[in-house]
Amino acid sequence: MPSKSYVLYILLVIGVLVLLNLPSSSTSSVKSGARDNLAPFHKVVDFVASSGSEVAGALREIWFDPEDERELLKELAQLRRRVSELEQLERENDELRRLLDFSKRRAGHMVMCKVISRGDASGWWEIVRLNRGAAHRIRPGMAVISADGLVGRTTNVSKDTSDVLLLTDPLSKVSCRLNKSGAFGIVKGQGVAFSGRADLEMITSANPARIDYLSADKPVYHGEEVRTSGLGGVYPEGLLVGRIGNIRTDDSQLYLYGEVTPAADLNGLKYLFVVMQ
Amino acid sequence: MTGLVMIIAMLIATVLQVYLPGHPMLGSARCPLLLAVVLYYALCRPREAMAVAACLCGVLLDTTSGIPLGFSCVCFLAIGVFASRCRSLVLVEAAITQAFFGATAAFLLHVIQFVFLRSTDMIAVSLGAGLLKATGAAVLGGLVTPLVFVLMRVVDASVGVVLRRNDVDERFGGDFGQSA
Repeated sequence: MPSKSYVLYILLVIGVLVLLNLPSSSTSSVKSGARDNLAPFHKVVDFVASSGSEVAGALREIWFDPEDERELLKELAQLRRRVSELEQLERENDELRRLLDFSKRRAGHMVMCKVISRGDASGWWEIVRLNRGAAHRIRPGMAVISADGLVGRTTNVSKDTSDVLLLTDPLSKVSCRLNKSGAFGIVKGQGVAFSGRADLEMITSANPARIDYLSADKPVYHGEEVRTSGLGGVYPEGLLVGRIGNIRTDDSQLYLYGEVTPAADLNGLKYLFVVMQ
Repeated sequence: MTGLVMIIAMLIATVLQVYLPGHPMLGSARCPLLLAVVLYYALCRPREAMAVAACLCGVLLDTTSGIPLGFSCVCFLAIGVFASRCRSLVLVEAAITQAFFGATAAFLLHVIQFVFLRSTDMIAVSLGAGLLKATGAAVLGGLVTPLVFVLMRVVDASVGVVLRRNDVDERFGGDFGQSA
């Protein structure tokens, strides 16, 4: 008669073997289900973190001042906090107006989403998670933009969430065209810079992306706009990707490459649009 | 009660691991909180609990990342088995031991993940960036593992899954609390 422990070990081994050999359709449904169930927890943590930073700011104002001025400073801190809240509301209002205007201009082609978490648990991919998924007709491989420019494309989509692979992930490749010179190239993500910062927006700043395979025959201008070419079938034509920086010639002398600074502020993503095609 | 504590700990660890930012100086490695939970069960609890924790943490890590389902279960189980075999040889109570296990396990886990994901073209991270991430994970593992051990011990003691030191003194008439 085998002991309970052995039965448990055998069951676990069988479970792991089953997981490793699941067909991809079952794997993605398991992952989607888990992501949907964890989404409310992410929202709670996001709410707690943002409220906590506000409270911590107010408390800091009180704690770091002399004893006799405490009451006045407390009042001052409250007023400052109120002003700060109003300023934040004003900024949010402006941003929402801008997004509304942007959304109207491209009405009918986009789904507006909120970023609920940034990065995946393993840290190997540069992604953000959105609060909308297959229930809103979002599918993998759709372009995702902010009001400023291209952000990336959807990868894993569950019923209520979608993961967006950012433009700066080394796996990301976008077929692009320079606005002025008309030269074609491929924009690739360059990962994360060593000298970046991890701020309250919970994402690290990234190196500029890089554009490769620009024809050496065409003149390329510093600061020129880089837009999607529409080739490749994932990204619609004409989406602003960024601006080209330093341009160099490849060792083979056949083509040019250059740094691309993304137009979208990838450090502060809050609301994004999934382009429906 | 052990199962409930384990599940709650793993859920909190998962959400925090996703939410806490990685620093570029550490290769944007995430805090290896799930790994720390596995190490706690490997070093401080029965082997059965470790095996269950390793499998569940592996599933959670895989479902919240792009890693193929089941891969992290195998990694966590291997790390858990190795750590539990070592526990009679080391002073588990010492924070330095916990930090050492956390750092080593996080480094190994990231190296294994890098080799696997790179060989299957699932990531396009360079070798330098991969090593930086593994080193960053080791640093974070060394820092967070003792913290997770303390928290898990407090929670386990407060719900009565393990005995507090004072309770041990009272029950067995020893001086375990002070001598430890």
